[in-house]
Amino acid sequence: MLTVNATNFGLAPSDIQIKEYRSSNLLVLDGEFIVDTSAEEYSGIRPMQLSVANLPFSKSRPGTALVTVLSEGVKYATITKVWVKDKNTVCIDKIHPYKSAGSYKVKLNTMLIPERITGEVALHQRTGHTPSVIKGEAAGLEIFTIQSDDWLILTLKATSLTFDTDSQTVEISVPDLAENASSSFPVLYNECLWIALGSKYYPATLENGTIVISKDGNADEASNTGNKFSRIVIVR
Amino acid sequence: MFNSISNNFGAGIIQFKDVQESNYIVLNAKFTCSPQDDAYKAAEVLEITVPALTIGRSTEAGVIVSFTDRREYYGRIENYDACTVAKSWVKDANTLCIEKLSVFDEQPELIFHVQTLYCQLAQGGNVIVGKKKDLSCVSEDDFLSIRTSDSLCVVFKKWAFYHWMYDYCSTAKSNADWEAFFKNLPEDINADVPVLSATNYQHKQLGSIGMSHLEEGYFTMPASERSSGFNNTANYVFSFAFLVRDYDTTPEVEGRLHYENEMLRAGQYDAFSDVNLELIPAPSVVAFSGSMGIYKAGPVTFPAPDFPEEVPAFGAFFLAAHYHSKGLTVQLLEIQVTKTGSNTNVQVIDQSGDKNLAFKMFDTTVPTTI
Repeated sequence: MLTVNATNFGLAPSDIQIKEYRSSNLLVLDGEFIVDTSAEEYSGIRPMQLSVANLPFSKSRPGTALVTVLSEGVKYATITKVWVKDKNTVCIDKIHPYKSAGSYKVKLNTMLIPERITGEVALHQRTGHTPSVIKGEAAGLEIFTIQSDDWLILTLKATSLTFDTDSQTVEISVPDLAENASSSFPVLYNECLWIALGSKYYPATLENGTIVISKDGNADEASNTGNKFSRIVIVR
Repeated sequence: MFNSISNNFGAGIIQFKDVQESNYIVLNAKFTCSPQDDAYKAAEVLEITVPALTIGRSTEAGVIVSFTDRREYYGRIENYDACTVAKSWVKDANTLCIEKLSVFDEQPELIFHVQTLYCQLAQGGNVIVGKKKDLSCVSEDDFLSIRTSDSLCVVFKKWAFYHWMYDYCSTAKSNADWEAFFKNLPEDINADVPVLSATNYQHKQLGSIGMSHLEEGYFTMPASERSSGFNNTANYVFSFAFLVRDYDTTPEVEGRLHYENEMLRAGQYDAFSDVNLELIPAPSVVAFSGSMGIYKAGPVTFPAPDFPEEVPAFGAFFLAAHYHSKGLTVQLLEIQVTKTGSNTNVQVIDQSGDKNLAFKMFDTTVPTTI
């Protein structure tokens, strides 16, 4: 677990639980916290910072976190930039258009690496799964993972989702998925690219090799909506 | 960065941030002095002695000279801080000069804002054209609007030219401290930047000045810094500055798994800008940043010249932010770097079904064999 000693945006360290995996050249962060945009500290700072116990490197290339917000009953999501500023500081960009919502959730879904590391490159293999849809329907469903002993990246894509009438879910069994990988994450979709608050999303969970995507009261999608997709990073 | 050695007008030690090339320099500094100081009164030209510069004599440039003037009216503090532009030049490799203006003679204290580029005088050479980036403003509820046609930066590796022009602020925020994110502003600029305008109701010969701050791509300006008349019609409010970036001085390492290209091109119209990717070796992870403004479904394949041999072919899924509106909609991209002989190509594939490739990407993920 990442040891967070302080934040500069009014959130107590005790309210932040972030799983981490670290090596000398890699930091993987998996966790979420709520940002209160009405906090006095939030307005004056740029960007948000987590003061943490010593990190394995003092500067990183940028990575991304997912950010979700509820605005007028609609669930929106976007991405924000995350980076290591120094040995004890992780920075996360604020989302200005989300301020008037009062709060938003940051889901660290993040890999960070330092610069100037040399050596012979050893690439991972991507695993394509053959999922079974247990409830509802998922047309054009593709699921890929990259798995290590310590973390997992899952990429999901579907051209359309049809939610089960009773449970209002789509449930997908993914064989050969690590049992100790669990997460809650957004499955994103774009009805239009000119939406001020970002993509829309369905909340989803992964537990024991099963992905459950919930409609969760979302309105029916517009006719020209694109794919449903997610790419998540999980610390095992 | 360097400190001044001395000066002839009673200022203390002046710290400069600097970029110094063979035919120009960019200097950033902020310092004060008193026109009531005997040394200031005696000086005809304000001279600062500095460690040897890389240029021996420059063309004329400008620095902002200002003073503070805050007045209370009916419990409200009005800002009449005043400024103008003074000529400045490099007289010789050890001497920086600033014009002394009599309009300031009665002031108790002056503030000098050096955010200036000095060209070597009388040295010809091929023109190097900078890359213009339009600035756009992201703020809460769009309270702040800037003139997009007049707000830009020209970005070089170690410095940037910044010109910003104010347009509009919502009534709800007219008396609030401002905070906004400027897209395309280099995020390694950390500077206090004067905000100027021609009108000053208390000092008719001078303009108005207030201080903004740029840091990590954010623009902030407290309400107290906005001059009286800031929002008046036909009062053009702007910033104009040459700003030193906090550029990385870490020495390069041989065999670095890194590729950088200002622009990859596929045909006449398709471009992948500011491409910058780096890997760690084993187990490999890749950080990839860049932006595209292609309004078609793709995929698009870009030749990548001079791609390092040490980086093998790979594929990966990245998350990016679409350029549209406030730039918050998310796109899933698949990028494949393929190699055929000595040629490398970068293919960008939309996996979101969005039918265009207009995005900004700054993501780290795991590359895999193709």
